[in-house]
Amino acid sequence: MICVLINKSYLNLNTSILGVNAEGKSLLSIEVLEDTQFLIDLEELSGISIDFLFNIPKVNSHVVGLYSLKDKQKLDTIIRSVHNVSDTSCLIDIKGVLNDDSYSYHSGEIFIGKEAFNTESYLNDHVLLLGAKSKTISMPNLRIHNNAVKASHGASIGSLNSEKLYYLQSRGFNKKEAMDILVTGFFESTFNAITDQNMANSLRHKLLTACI
Amino acid sequence: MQELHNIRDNFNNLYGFSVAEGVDKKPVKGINEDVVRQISAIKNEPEWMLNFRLKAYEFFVNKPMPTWGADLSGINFDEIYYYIKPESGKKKSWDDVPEDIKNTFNRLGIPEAERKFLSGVEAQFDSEAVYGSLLKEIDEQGIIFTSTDNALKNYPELFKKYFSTIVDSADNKFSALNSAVWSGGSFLYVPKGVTVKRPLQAYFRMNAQKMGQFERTLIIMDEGSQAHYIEGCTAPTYSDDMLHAAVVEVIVKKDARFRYTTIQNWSDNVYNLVTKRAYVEENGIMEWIDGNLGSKVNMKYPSCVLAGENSKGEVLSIAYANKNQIQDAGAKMIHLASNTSSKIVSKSISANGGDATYRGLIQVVPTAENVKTRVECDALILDEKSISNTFPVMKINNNTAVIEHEASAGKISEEKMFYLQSRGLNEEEAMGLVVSGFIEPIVRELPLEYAVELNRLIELEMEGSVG
Repeated sequence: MICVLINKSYLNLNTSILGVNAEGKSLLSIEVLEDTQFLIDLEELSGISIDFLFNIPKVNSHVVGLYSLKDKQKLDTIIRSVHNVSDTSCLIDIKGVLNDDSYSYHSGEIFIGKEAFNTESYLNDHVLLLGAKSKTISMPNLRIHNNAVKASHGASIGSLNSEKLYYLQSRGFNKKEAMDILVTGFFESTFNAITDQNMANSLRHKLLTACI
Repeated sequence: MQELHNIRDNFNNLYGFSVAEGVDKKPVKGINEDVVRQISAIKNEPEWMLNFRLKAYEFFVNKPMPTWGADLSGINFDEIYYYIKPESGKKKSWDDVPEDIKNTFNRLGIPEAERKFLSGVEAQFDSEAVYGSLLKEIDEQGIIFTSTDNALKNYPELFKKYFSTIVDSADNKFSALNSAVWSGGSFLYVPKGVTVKRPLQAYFRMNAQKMGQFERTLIIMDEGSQAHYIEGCTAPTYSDDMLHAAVVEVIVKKDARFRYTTIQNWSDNVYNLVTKRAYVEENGIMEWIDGNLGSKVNMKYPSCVLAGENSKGEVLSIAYANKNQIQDAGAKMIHLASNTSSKIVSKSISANGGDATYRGLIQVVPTAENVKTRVECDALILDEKSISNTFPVMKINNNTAVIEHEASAGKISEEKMFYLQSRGLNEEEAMGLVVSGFIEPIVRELPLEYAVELNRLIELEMEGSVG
């Protein structure tokens, strides 16, 4: 599976595929041509709407979007997987940590068209609210127009598990350290799923230095 | 003001309307300020209600149609009778009731008297003989259970104190329309500390009127009271009205507990656009159980405003979208206070090209600490022509909240079908069994007779879904 990083420099190289969607957001349409893992640097791309188009049968994709915000940072993104033909699969994993007064608006969508039989598509959206005034709006949508599909979404919003925090503190970590361990753990399962180790490491470094 | 009184007193003479019962009234199509005034005059309402209606009418005219959700362009407000229906010379008889509805009655085993009422042949259903002893019991406990029109006449202070405090007339276009032309519906007041043991049903009410187009229901659960109210019924409700826009307001006071069960099965020409909202105070519990079958377009999102600490809200919802139907149902939970919790379970089934949509909102305000919410939406799509959508919104403004949302959609698993068929069931029976199992978590919350009827009704709906 090839690994593609979608960030500002990616947009600069591929400006021709940017349009504008109905809500006035910049729309990036990416056609998935072969099995691909996409890593999206959501922080750099706030205000964007990305469509992953499945117009070729038998391709699979894993989309990873991770972010960590602080101070009064705002994030506003839409990510959609659009399945138009049969036998495609997509997993979208969005994870974010909100510190301080930061705010995230994230809308995800799975669209499965009439002809897209045997589609498997999943959407996960998890947000950790760590800042006292952090806020989030999450809208994970499903639009399914045929029945030979497996589709689901899962979303969770909350703070760190107080029992886990307590346990770590009872083992000698101070509160800040305990929180850092849990935040690292929150992202880690997704880092592990990234096939390109260099990209995973640089993303890990960037996210964890930002929020720890 | 004096002038207004005069106008009302002279209304009959001025507009040639007669208020006397049993006399044919002249039907008026479409809506304007005069129609609103006429409705209020015919019902002999106090002035504040007339003013309320007129103000609501203004909101209705000025509000645009909703731009989201199902296509409502088929509604022609000028073709609707808002109060008086054209009865003269066109008395409906049992023979006019469509064959498929009669068949369903037969197969569900609905009693003769209820059949005529349900099909609209008889405008009234004399429930006294059947439910007399129950009504007596209710009276003795100090419970007020009457039609909303009667409540306005007989309990004016109680009525005015709570009416339209939960759903503002300007809330949306259809709540404004309902506020302008409302008629009928139920009024329930349960006094402090009273527990109503058996479920109250809309047609327990003596001589309940035919379910109206613009029903207005107001329910007040005083401190520490408990009750279960059931609206509608599983049998298909035949109606030649194309628009039903009801408003239901529920007030659950401190420590009270209330459950509102609706099973609706309108005929497939009906736009059913209903505003249902409950306001829940400290330690209160509100449960909506919502079954949506039938109708052409159904848009209904029961909501709980959790305003008191430790209050709980729950919505259990089933939607069955068959051919040419749009079921756009869901729930809203607004958490205004700390330690509140809510749960939404939605099960939708789409078949024969039907369109089932879950649309929901979870909102937590900055001052509400330790809110817990769980949402589960499952969709079963029975064939390749049918559509399923899920549109949840979560607006979370407090970091102590714990919010979980899960949704899944798909067809009946082939293994389940194979197993059941290997045990001797045919394809249709196997499918029916899987669907029954799918909706079981909600059906088991219904009173037995409703659960049995709902299961049979879904079986009937599913006929012809196979092959």
